[in-house]
Amino acid sequence: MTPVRVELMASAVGKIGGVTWHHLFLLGTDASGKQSYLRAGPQCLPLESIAGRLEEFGDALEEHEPSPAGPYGVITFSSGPYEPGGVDFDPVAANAPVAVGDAAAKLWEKLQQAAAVLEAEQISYDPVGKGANWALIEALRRCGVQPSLLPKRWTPGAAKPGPDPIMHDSATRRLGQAVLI
Amino acid sequence: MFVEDEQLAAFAPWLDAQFRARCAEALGTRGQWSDERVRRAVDTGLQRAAALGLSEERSVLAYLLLATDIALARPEDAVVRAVEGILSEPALPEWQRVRLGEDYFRQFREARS
Repeated sequence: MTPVRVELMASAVGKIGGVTWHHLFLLGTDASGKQSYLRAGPQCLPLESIAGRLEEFGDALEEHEPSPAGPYGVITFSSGPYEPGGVDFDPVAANAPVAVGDAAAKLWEKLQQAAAVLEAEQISYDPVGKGANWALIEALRRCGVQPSLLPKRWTPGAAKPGPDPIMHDSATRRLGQAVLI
Repeated sequence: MFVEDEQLAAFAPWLDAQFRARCAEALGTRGQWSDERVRRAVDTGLQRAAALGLSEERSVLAYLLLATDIALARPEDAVVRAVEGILSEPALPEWQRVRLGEDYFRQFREARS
């Protein structure tokens, strides 16, 4: 596919504390109007998310293999035709142009390479940090594009990372309860 | 070794005082305020953190810093309300709530500047 337009898309997927959050993906459109997506996501879902879920070959839990990278595994990318029934298909998703014309074709090619490199880095998927939105924006950054985020759409993980937490994830000591010495 | 709180209180009654001092130290890095003002801010923040159901030290400290950053940035009321909503989300673990609250604030503070 040789896109003549690349857009950053934001699709509403849920609410946290009453605030709608959005999943980002990229959409390439060629001269004939055919569209393809590029998205990031987790390698797997945590056990609690798939318990009781039935798949083509039976209980999803039976097929589940825990990843050494954590409950969500590593960041993965996928792409394919953007059409009804597809994973991110959303006719009311917000969009922002990223590139047009020759620049779009070059960017699309570079994005495939950036996605492959990011996947090869085996980065643990963190749903509230380095997750799908972070990965997509990181792929764009690695292609020399610093996209503007879509206004009024909260896309967790897509903003510039904040400073390192003063206390790290392992510091789970509770106030006044117990302490690991 | 895992020590329960009663045992701990018997030989380390300063534990919470140490954490409170650590919070004051962290807040002090955000601006030039008197020690008294920082202590009052920490105490208010600790009460609010408890009301939000935050009990892990990392979550409480991250919340105090987020609250300070929000107070300094004076964002629109809608941003403050949204962050409060995220921090109060009952379906998520406390550490995720605080990190997502930070994320929302960072994203929408940036969008305005």
